[in-house]
Amino acid sequence: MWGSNARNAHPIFFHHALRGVANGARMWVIDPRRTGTAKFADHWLGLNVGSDIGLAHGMAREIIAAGLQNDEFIANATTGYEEYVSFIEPWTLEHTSAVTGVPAEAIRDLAHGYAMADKAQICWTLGITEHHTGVDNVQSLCNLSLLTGHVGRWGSGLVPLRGQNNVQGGGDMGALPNKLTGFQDVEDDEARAKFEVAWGCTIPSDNGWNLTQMFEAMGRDELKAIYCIGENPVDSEADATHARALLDRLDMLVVQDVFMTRTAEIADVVFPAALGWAESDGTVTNSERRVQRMRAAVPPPGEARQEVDIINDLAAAMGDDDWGQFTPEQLWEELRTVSPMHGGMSWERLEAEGGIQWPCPTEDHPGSSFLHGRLWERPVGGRRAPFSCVEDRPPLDELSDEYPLRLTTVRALDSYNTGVQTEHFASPIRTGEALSISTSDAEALGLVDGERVTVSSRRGSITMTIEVEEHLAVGLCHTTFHFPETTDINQITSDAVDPKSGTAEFKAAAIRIDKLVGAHA
Amino acid sequence: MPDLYFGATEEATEAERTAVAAAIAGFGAVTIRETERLVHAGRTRTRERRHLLLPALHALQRAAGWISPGGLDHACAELEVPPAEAYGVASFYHLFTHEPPTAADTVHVCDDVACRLFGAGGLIDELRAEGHHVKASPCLGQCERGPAIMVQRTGSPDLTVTAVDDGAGYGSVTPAEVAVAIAEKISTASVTLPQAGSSDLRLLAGWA
Repeated sequence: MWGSNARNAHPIFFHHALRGVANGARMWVIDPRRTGTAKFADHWLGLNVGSDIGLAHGMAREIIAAGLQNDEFIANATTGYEEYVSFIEPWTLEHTSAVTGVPAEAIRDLAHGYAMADKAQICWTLGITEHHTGVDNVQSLCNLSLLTGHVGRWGSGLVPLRGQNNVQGGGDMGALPNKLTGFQDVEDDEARAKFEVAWGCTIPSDNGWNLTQMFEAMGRDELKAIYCIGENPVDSEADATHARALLDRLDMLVVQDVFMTRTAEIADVVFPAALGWAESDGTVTNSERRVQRMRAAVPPPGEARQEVDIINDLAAAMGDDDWGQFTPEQLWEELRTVSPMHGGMSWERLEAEGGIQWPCPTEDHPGSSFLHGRLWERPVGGRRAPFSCVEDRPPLDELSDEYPLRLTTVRALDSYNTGVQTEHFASPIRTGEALSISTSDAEALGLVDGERVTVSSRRGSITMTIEVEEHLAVGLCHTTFHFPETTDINQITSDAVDPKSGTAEFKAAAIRIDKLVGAHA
Repeated sequence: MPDLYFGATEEATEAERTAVAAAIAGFGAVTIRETERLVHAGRTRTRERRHLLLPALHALQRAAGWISPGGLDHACAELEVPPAEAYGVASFYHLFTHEPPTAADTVHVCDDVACRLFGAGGLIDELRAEGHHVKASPCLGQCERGPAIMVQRTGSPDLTVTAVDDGAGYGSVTPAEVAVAIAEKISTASVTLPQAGSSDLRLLAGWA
């Protein structure tokens, strides 16, 4: 588990992981904090925030030095190996230890354990992706799987754990600026033409903007209107002060949501939506690529409407009124005709089989339990997979004398993201509003547990309560972002973005802690 | 097994911590904090230490005269055993006490069938009359030498007091003999019983 606190953030998946552990699997957890997940681990490696590429390179160099790489797989299924080997040569165990803060022996054990395992999976989430080198971080992990052949076969692989129950599905359906349904590129003329025929319209031939680019466009007054569905950017964007200022400049903000979020509060129009998992029929796609049926259990309350109907009526109001009325099943059956990876997933099969993993191109195809099996065909099926020579680059919000502490944002078990869905019920384990700080740092700053302090970064200042955590690494602080109304942590976080993904570096801000004015040491 | 909830309001005492450490010596705790950045734990280590729970509980009982909530939580933290599971073990056995001790010594007198025939009931009354803290006990396994007595002491090993065969058969046990044993910290000498039965029988010594 690398940059994943699945115990808190993916508790259902984590049950499955623990079954593997109960069956004898060894678990390493790589995380700056010894989280709830890490406490289940055979070995926890507390690396410095943002040093993941270094650790991956160090592991790879050790695997090669020990002769544990899979030569057959490398020779037949990959490209760029020689360049990669030279590129990671400086990452000796000693150098890697110095950069990551992890003892050299532990890096060696991890490298050998991973390489020699019969089956091995690397699972990651935002500890890997919420950095300005997020994409590079992921590629450094892919390198390890290519080096050892732990990809493209049952039980081994690369497992990004998606953060919502249907974020995979959202992307699969084409709710991305550069993809049509089924991961087909917007800029692929042939793919686009197919959709244009099916939908009877013209589709723009250029990619759209991702979320980061949209905010930049708002800043240039190029983007003037937003139709915001199920997102709460007022609370969830890094550098919140800046993001809110941009949202305020819009001519029109329409919000479609289940709750009256703080984004909905500043909207010009709010469409109350049915709650997907309880009030709508349809499908969702989870982290294992499994498309599953969702069924309405209760009708939506009050004026809340099915989202499909809202969008349909909006289209008609805009003058495009020949979409017709359609059921979720009809929508799905049309989708299958334009998305090859869903082609064989009939509505009946999804019902009967309890879900099917894509790709599933034909109705007699059982679905795919793992990807990239083509890499084991000889000769290799399709393109070879490349090693990536990615640079280790520390977090952009640098530590300094003025901002000497590293803040990382984290998640609790019983709260969810900006708290919209979870703040309305009481919980005996509600936690995460405080700023956790190490015993040494608290002493050095003359702070006591429970004290109120000012927390500042280059972007803003808020007041928070301190919680002293006995075994937290010196220099590291953490808090959740689940309580924006009382602890508006995104006023502090860094919006340094990964240019390849558009994701902000939520995991690494530089902060200072000051006693409240008037308080005595 | 992490995710444990430790509800004791009191911490384990120094004596309790020392006792648990001695009981698990050789294996050590499940969690090893090798450095601030490297910690080992996990299911394999937990499973290979699960058998240390009873020794740890015995150690707590001996060191403190009871199994306190703080002591139990500490043993559970060291061995990563859920406190509820450990409490089930600790509360099952007669020889584990769950209230703070009212006396330094607890005199357990077996009043099971054989010992009752040897006058255990009367002995219990007499010992109580002399001010001992006495508990009627399940069988202590000294049935031919009853009434069997075990003195459970805080901070010291237990004492066994039984009847002795002076050549004319086993006598009985008097309160005076119990008092002498406690004062001089002497158990009744143990007796090796001759092997009985067929010579083909083997004593299964050395089984784990």
